[in-house]
Amino acid sequence: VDPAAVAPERPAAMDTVDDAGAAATARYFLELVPYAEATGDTMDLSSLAHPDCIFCTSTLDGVAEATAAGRHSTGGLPHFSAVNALEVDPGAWWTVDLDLVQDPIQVLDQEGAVVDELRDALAYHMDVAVIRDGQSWLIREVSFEVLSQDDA
Amino acid sequence: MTVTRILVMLALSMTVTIPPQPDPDLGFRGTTQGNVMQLTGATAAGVLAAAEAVDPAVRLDEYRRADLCGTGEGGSGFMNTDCSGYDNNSGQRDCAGEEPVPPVWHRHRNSAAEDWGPWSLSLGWTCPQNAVPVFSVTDLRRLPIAPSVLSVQPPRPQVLVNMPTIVFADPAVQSFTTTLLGYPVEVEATPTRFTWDFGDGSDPLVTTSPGHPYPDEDVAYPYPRPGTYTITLTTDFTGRYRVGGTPTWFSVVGTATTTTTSPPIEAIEVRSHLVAEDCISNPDGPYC
Repeated sequence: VDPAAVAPERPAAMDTVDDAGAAATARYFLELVPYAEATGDTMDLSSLAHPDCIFCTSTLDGVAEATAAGRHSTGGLPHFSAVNALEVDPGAWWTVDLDLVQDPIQVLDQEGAVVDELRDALAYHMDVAVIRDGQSWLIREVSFEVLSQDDA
Repeated sequence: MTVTRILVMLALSMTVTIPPQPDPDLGFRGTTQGNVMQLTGATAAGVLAAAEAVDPAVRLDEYRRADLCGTGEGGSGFMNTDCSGYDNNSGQRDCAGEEPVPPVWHRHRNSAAEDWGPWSLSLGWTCPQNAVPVFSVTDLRRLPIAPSVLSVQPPRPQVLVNMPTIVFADPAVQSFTTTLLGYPVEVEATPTRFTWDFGDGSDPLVTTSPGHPYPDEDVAYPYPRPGTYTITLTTDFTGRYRVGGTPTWFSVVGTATTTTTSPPIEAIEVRSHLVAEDCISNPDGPYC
């Protein structure tokens, strides 16, 4: 089984409204991206996406486009380090900054042939705005910076 | 050296000079990103302003900006700050020539009678630009942007089949003054993309030019068949905004759209007639 096609588990930490909950939400969201790209299943991903989140919309559009074209990807799992959450607006708005390395990615067509490929793991620094909307967490926005491949 | 050899060498040298293919934009970096620091900076500015507005005697949340963990304007209380997650050295941001804004610290108490809890970091270093609230594409679409004025030449309800019908729009930039989270904001909407649907089933024409009147026309369409048509112009506006009194413009991500429809236009077929007189000397002649 392709590890990217296994649905990531929703972290229990998301049940608490605190820094750890916000950090877990950011991680879970970023884990759902390669899962959606591998399977086309965007249900959990879109339920966490704020409607004004540019990164989220772009990701969901990309998955829909690939699915419509009969493509899916494999790989791309994120490996996190240095996840740090700050509560900017108490109980409402957190900013989570984190470092991650994303595994190499292959894009496959319906027959399973590789049509596109990223051979190297890439290191990123990301800022994630996580908000509390009523009883649920939402990803408000994601910014990223690709660190040099030497940092990976 | 034969021609064949030269060609072979050329072919070889061309093979050698093909640049390496860049890595495809896959993974997270293939995604369009938003600006978390700008959104967060604006949120923090609102939180600080709201907390400041409460009487110090009864406020339950206090915020301070301080440049280093354990020091700063918070006074001695800051010396007991929990500095976890705060890196003095890496926190300084490159703010494109502007002075970075120190981090925000927060402390809370459950009631005015209780002691304050410890200071904790609420936001790291930011740039002054980050304090500007974000004017979103939703805000842009909410503005009363006037639809483009659509002009058609010849300026008659009848045009000739197979002769160019010229269209052009007013390319004027529209300015607005509005407020966003209490900030006065100037917004400019600029028409940047025009989609002309000539109403006869042909594919719409997409231009970045607003078109121009005769004789400088650059957007025109010859109706191939007679009929009555309406022209629909869809205009995409890009936006930029700035907080009143500040010099820096920020771009709005996304576009707003307006639609304009022309009155019905009749495309008619005209047959050539040989005439002996012009319309002035014989106003009753064919097509006078």
